[in-house]
This record gives sequence, structure tokens and C-alpha cells, in this order.
Amino acid sequence: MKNPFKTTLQRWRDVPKVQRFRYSTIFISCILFLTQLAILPKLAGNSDLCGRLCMRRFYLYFPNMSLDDFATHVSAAMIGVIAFGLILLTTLFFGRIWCGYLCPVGGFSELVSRLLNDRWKIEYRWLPQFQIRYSYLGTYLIVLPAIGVSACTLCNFVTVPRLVEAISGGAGGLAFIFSAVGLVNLSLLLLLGFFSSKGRAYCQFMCPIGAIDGIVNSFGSRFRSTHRIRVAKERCTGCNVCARNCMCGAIKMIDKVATVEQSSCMDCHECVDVCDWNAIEWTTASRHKEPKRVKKGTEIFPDPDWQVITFKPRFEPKVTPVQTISWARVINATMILGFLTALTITVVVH
Amino acid sequence: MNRFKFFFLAILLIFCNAAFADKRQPDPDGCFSCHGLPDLKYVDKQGQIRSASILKSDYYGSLHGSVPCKDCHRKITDYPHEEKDGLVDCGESCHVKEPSNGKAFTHKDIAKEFEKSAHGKGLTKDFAAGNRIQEDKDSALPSCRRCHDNAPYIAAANMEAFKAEFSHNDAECGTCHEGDAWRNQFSGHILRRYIGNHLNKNVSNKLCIDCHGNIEKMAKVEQENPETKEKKAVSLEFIHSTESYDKTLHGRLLKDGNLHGASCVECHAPTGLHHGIKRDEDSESSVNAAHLSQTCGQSNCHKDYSKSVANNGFLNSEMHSIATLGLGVETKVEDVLKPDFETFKALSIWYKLAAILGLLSIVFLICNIAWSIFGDANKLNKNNNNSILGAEKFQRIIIGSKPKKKESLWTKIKRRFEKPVVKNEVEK
Repeated sequence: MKNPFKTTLQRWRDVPKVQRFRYSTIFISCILFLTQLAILPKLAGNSDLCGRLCMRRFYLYFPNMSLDDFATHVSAAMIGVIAFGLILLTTLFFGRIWCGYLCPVGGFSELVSRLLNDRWKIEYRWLPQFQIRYSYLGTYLIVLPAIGVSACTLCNFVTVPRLVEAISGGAGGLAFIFSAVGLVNLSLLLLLGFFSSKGRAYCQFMCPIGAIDGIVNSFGSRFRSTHRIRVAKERCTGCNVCARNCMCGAIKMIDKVATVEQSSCMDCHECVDVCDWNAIEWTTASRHKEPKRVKKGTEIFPDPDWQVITFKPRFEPKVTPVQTISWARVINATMILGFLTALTITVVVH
Repeated sequence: MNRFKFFFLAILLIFCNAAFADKRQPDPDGCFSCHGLPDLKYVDKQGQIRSASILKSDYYGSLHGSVPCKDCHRKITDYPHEEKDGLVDCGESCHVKEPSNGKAFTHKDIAKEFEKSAHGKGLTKDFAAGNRIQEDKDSALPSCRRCHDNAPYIAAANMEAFKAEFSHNDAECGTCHEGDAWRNQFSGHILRRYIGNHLNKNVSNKLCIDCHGNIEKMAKVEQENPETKEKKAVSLEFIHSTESYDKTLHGRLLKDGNLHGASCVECHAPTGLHHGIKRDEDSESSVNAAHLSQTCGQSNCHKDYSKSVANNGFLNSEMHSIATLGLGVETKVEDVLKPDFETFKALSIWYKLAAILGLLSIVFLICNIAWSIFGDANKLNKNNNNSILGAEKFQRIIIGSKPKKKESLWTKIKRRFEKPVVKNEVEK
């Protein structure tokens, strides 16, 4: 029998240096934000990341909303608004540092998912993320408030502190988890978090902050001076190791060249760490637009040409109909259907 | 010249102040000649020593500071007087005349509204010093005086500053409201509360929390059914109402000093004279399910939003949910743990779902630990996606590899149970 601890230690040593740093920052931010201690939120007077700390409530639309209402929301959630502004600002210049390195909610599920065996997991990265993410964002911003489902009712930020509270024996946490919203959030945490491949499916599809952050990220990638995950096309060998390791599914092999979709990329740096060919890098565009030297008609550049190559997100072409019945598909479909009906029933009944 | 002007103004101001002070003659009957003594005491019928001295500074600072004693204590004509002659009726007509119709102001309407409310059996007349003790402070039926104890609205120390702030009222208010009667009596009566912000939402909440915040007391309260006269113990939501209120956004905004939050009275007695607080089971109550859309949709609250039919779900948000406090859960958890199937049937479907989820997660946990100890990590193909679902799609769409022909789960299972044919052939 092998010693499990040794393998765990070896596994930790095999992790690239930047990733080890990233896991540590996530771990620290989980301790700061989510546990019973929840140091930072308690300093601001609320352990649920709610009220003045909420980063999500203030930009929601509700019918007949006026500018004054918006100002009220902003003033009620001042700390959250400032934090949100800071996140967007860092995103503009350095990529989605918050999402990849600090966010306690996405980071928590990612860490747990990475601890679990790959065989438990469901792969979501092939889904058309861009479309799902922004259609859900629209639903979240406008449709849900309009039909009277407050975004706070569905808030998943409270799930993790409650879960920790319940595990440590707090009655309030148990009460929340046994409620309808708690169960929905818990299943989201399990299905889109812990048991999803790389644990970032929630961030990819449902996180409103991540979605807005993604817009800013792809907008910022238009400039040459911003730090982004960039690809040197001529160096890429098409070995697809980056695409396999990308936790967001932002890298896709197109014509055997890695292309990064900037609205999904979290700048977690993992693709850079695993690439053997230095073909991908978190950096600004090369300083030299013109060749520095021309030798015998050959233009010579000092830096590789770091490009942001985005693919246009579009719906997948129709898949040819599958002849045999795949039971995995049937089970999958029943699960999704059951989940959707349960969701509609709860919405209608409540 | 300038210095002369300043001097002139200063003298004028001094005279003004004197004039202001002269108008306040609350003691024309000379009550203070006795009651103003610092240590006036008497023995009442129960044999208790009671203080009868009235602090001048507190009295002048109070809302009734300019009202002569006899205006309320009407039966007292000369001294010494009987204790029972001092009874005061809050519903009686008042010293202040409503300037628009010239009639004496009365609290009768408020008293009527109050009598219909949940607190309605409390004392509204015959107040005296003597019955303060009979008016049990633990009683569920507060009197007028329980809340409006005529504590100084403006502390004696702030009185001078208050006067200075009001010294402009001749010029500013007087252009429209001519006549001293209005400005000195009626306006003062109202403006003190609003301008001085001495009755903002937090102060009015404090009046409710003073009683309802005492959980031990609230646990003893019994509610009476007005029709059947049956008494029953109150719910947990009732007992912990103030704690759960503090957890809602309404309470938290107010605690933060942000006056956008709704106070107790704003939901429980939004209309009329704000004294008609009724139980939510009462069909006339503002917090009854039938009236919630009106109450939440007041002009400066969730206006229009809650009145729309599409937003009915909004009205379901519990304002006094004990779930936020983590109370009453212990019993429910016990019920779940009982191996009694009848109670299990009675539980909501969510508990069953939670039990299933819990079982599943335990299975996952055990399997995962077993895998990490006994399993061989090298068996996993590092170059492949090993997920249960979606691995093939991932390979095809993200990596761009050609779709492999994969055996379906059913054929795999069938193959497992087939006899190993090849071996037999070799043996033959």
C-alpha cells in the first residue's frame, strides 16, 4: 500500500510555482472571507458579504427604477461598489486578477474540485460559455427582478459561510441549507463547483461579477499596453496542453493554434506554466511595431509577436444526429430536465 | 459706526431673548411654589414614600413645558389637593387651538384609533402619579404614558441652542402664519418633533424595542383570539421579532444611520394617526397578506414595484424570519433524525432531498478517500480528459480531435457479462 501523504506532497511539488502561489492566495482569501472567523466581512460589520459589502445588488434593474433609486443602491452598498470598481480597474490593466487569484467563492470550489479525483467530474468547458453566460446575466439583471425573484433570494455568496457554519454546528447554517434556496445553491455548488472539471463552471456560466469583468477584460485586450494572456502564433506547436489545463475553457485549438477567448480567460497563468514552447505568455504586446533590424531582406524583431487572438464566439454547427442511444446522454438529459422542472415548480409555487 | 451697529444689535438680541422668556408662563397658578421644592415627598395610601417634586428644567424642556399645570390637571382648584383630583385624561380637549378652524385640539382621534389596535386595552385616561405603579410595566397593554412619558424632548442643556435656532420664526414663518398663537403654540408643538429630528425612525423604533426587545417578557405573552376569547402562546417569530428585524435590510439601514430603512410603525401602522397597530391575522391589519402590496408600496417605499401583479413573489419575503436567527431548528433536526416514518412523510420534500444528497455525498467522500489510499494515480491517462460526462465533447470541440467511435455504456455492460469466448476457442 502506498503512503497517500507522500503522493499528495509530490503532487503539490509537481504544481507549477505560480499555481502554488495562486492556490495559497485563494486559500488565504477563503480564510479571510468565508470561515466562521470571516475577518474582513466582520470588520465591515457583516459576515454574509451582504449589505454594504454586496457587489451585486446595486446594478440590478427593477421596473420603474429611476436614477435616484440607483444612487440609493450605490450608497447602501458603498464598500461593495468601491471593491467592484477596483476589480474592474485591475482587470482593465492586468486581466482578471480578482477572479483567478482572490475570489473566495469560485476559488473555494476550485480548490475542492482539484482535490477530488478527475473521475467524479463533469466536463462543462465545451459548452458555448459566451452565450450561456451573457444570456444568464441578462436574465439575472432584468428578468428575475421583473418577475419578483429578488437576486438576494438566490444569492449564492451566503451559501459558503452558511455551509461552514453548519459544519461547525451552527443552527442558522443548517436552517439555511434545508431551505429551498439553500438546497438549490448547494446543488449548484456541488454540480457546477466541486464536481465540475477544474471547478470553475459556476464562474463560467453564472457569476454576474465574472461576466461583467469578462466584458472589461475583452475590451482591455484591444490595447497593446495591457497585460493579457497572449499567444505567439509562430511558436505554438498545437500540442493542446494549454487547452487541456485551462480551467475556464477559454483556450480552444483553432487550426491547431491555441486561441484565447478573452471574455472567459481569468489570467490564472496556468497555460503559461504548462507550455513547453514559451508560446503563450501573460504580458503586454511587444514594444516594437516595426522590425528593429532588416538583414538581407529579413525583418528581425527583438520580441516575439505577442498577440491576442480571439475567436468569435458563435453557436456550434449542428452535430450530425447520433445513431445509437447513449445512455449517458439520456441520464444527463433527465437530470437537467428534472432540475429545470424542480426550479420552475419552486419559482411558481413560491 | 460699525461698532455702534453691532452694539445696537446685541442689545436688541438681549431684549428679544427676554421677550421669548416672558411668553413662557407655564405656572400662573403657582404650583411650583410647592412642587418646585427639590425634595417634596408624601406617603400614599399604600404607605409608600413618593416624590412629588417636579424638576423645572425637565418640565420646561418637555413638549408640555409651556402648558399651565391646570390645563391638564383640571380638577385641582386649590391646595392642598387630593391625590385623585390629579387624574389626567389624554383624550380631553387641549390647550392648543387648531388655527385653521379655531377649535381646541384633542387627542380623541388618536385614543379611538389606539383602542382598536392590538394594544387597545391600555389606559388612555385617568392618569395620575398614583396609578403609575398599578400601571404594570410588564403588562401587555401599554398606556399612552408608557411610550409618551413626556421625557424632555429637548434636554435642558440644549434648550438655549434650540431657542436660538427658533429665534427666526417671526420672520420666516410669520410671513404666512400671522399671529403669535400659531407660531408659539401649534407650530412649536409640531416643529419640535420634525425640525429637531427628535422623533426620527430610530427613536420611534426604540419605543417599540423597549418592550418587544425583551425576549423573556415576550415569551410570556399570550395572544387572545378576539372572537373565541381563546388564549394561545405566541409564535417564535413574535418573541424574536426585534432580533429578526435587526437582520433585515430595513433594520440594518437604520442601524447604519441611513434613513431609507422602514421603521416598525411604517409597516405596522402606516395610515391614519400611526397608532392602529394590529395583529397580522386581523383582516384590517396593514401587515395582513391582503394589504401587503399597499403597505410595501407606500409612496416613498417600494412604490409601484410591489403593487404590480407580476411582483407577487416580492411580498413573500419574510421580515421576521427566525431562520435568520437559527432558532427553532433544533427540534426540526431532531425530527429528521428520528427513525419514525410517519414524521418523515410529514416533512417537506426538501428534507428528503437533503437526506438523499447527504447520503450521496457520504458515498462520494468514502470512495474518494478509498481511491486516494488504494487507487493507482498512474492509471489515469494524463493526456485524456477523465471526466464522467462531457469528456468526449471536450476533446472534439475544444481540442479539435476527430470523434472516436465510442462504445455506449450499455454495450460496455453487456460485454462485461458475456463469457470470455476467446479462451474457450484456444482450449479447443
